[in-house]
Amino acid sequence: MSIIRLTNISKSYYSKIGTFEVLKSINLEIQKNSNTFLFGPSGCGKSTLLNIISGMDNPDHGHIHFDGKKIINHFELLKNDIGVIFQDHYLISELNIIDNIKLKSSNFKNINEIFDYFNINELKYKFPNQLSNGQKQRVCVARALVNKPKLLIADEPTSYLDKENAQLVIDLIINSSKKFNLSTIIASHDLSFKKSFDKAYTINDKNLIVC
Amino acid sequence: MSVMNGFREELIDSLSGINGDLTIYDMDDSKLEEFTNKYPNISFVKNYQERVITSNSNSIEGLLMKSISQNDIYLIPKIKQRLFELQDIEENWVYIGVELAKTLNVKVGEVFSINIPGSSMTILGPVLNSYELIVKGIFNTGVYDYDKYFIYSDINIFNNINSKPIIDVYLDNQEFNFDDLEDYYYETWVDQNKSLAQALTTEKNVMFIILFFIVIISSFTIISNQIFFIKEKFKDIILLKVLGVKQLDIALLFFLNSFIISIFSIILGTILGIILSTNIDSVEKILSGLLNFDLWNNEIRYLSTMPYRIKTADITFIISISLLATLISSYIPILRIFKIKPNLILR
Repeated sequence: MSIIRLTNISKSYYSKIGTFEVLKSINLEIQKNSNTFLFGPSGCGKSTLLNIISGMDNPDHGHIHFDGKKIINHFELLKNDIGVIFQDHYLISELNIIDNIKLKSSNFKNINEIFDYFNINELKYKFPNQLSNGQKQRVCVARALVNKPKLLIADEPTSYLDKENAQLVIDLIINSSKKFNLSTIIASHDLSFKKSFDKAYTINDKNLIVC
Repeated sequence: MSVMNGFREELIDSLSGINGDLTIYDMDDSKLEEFTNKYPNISFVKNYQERVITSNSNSIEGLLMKSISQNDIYLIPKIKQRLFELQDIEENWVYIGVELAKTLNVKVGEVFSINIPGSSMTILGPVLNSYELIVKGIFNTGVYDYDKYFIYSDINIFNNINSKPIIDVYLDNQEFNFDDLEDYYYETWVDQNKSLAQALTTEKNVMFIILFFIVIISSFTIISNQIFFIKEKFKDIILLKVLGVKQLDIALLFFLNSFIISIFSIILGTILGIILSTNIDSVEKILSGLLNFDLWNNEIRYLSTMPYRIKTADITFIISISLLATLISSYIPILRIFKIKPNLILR
């Protein structure tokens, strides 16, 4: 059973100097509780594909089915079913960590469970500028998972981390996916993480290729 | 606005309280008695007016002398309000204003000389008839011009100078049928002070235009601050969108942020405005001292002190305009929030 299915997805960017086709007739099916790795050089279209999968951008052509249903309301998906982790550690600097987490879910049972699982209880009332990059990314992963989504999307989540911390974050995401029974799609340009995932894809010449 | 209202009302009150709400020019004594009987609550003050000159070692001043009966002096509202007088002087008396008394250094009970141009002409001009009067009282109307250039003398001495008496009428908010005056030539205080009345109307209009522009400028400030704030929080807005927060909720957050600050400013501004208005004299003195410049010159402004009148209707109007401007200027910038695309976060 697939959590997400892309059918014949195409995407181009339009500007004054011309049209740039980024994705061409992409077909992708991601199974439930699977971990998918998407790699490739910068500018190949990874982020565009993740934007389309998460509903933050619309394709020019093609259809997207989430959990067997055609996507109608992207907002509801982002709110309830999809967790997103970003390249930068986007946390609102004026809010403490627990309030940042509460932006995604105000269910205290879930919040306490996620704080315990990620072992970040001591960070609850700290502000983002008091945290290291590694701690910030742990909080971002915790926030993405607090409302127990069905799909976790991460775009270059390790780019600002050293090798050791990067592997810790990848392991954390993979372990979390098993703990919370969710699917993950992680994009990175670092091929060394490939071995941790069930499937790996790359984008070559606007097409998605299985590695 | 309060100072303008105060100035306007105080000036009108003073003008009508000294010269009367209307002046009748050609009414004989029998008709005057008829009017007095018909309108017992309205004051009719018969007087003769003459230009006179007074001088002493301190100064020479040209004055307007109104000759009235002793009892009529108490019918003039602005004169009786603040009047210092000696009771035992029964004849040959004169009442002068406080500013004239200061200029000539004259006190009550002292002799006050006046010269009235006569009808006989010499090669050097008209013959001046001199009179020596006793200062019975000094009045303080609060209007600089009246306190300096108006004097009131005994009608029994000067009733033959001008053959035509003038009747000043003080309505005191009583009903008066102007049709009764259709056979007489009369002027209201507005007719007598046309340029001043026009200036007051123009001043009020100009004040509203200035106020409107101040509100517009304030609105632009709110808009620019709000745009700046939205730009500063650009990433946070995208993050909130990606986290599934409704666009409308994000827009409402920014709108309320701006609106609450503006409401607080309006309340603070209103309170400060009322405090400053009620203490405008102290403010004027402090500012005049700091700037080394006389902000309220009573020779130009007519009134001796800076008046104020706080009107609830004006305050309500200004608050309403400010609220409307705040609503609009808080709303316009948040439209940008709807244009921010969440996909900008994944790049």
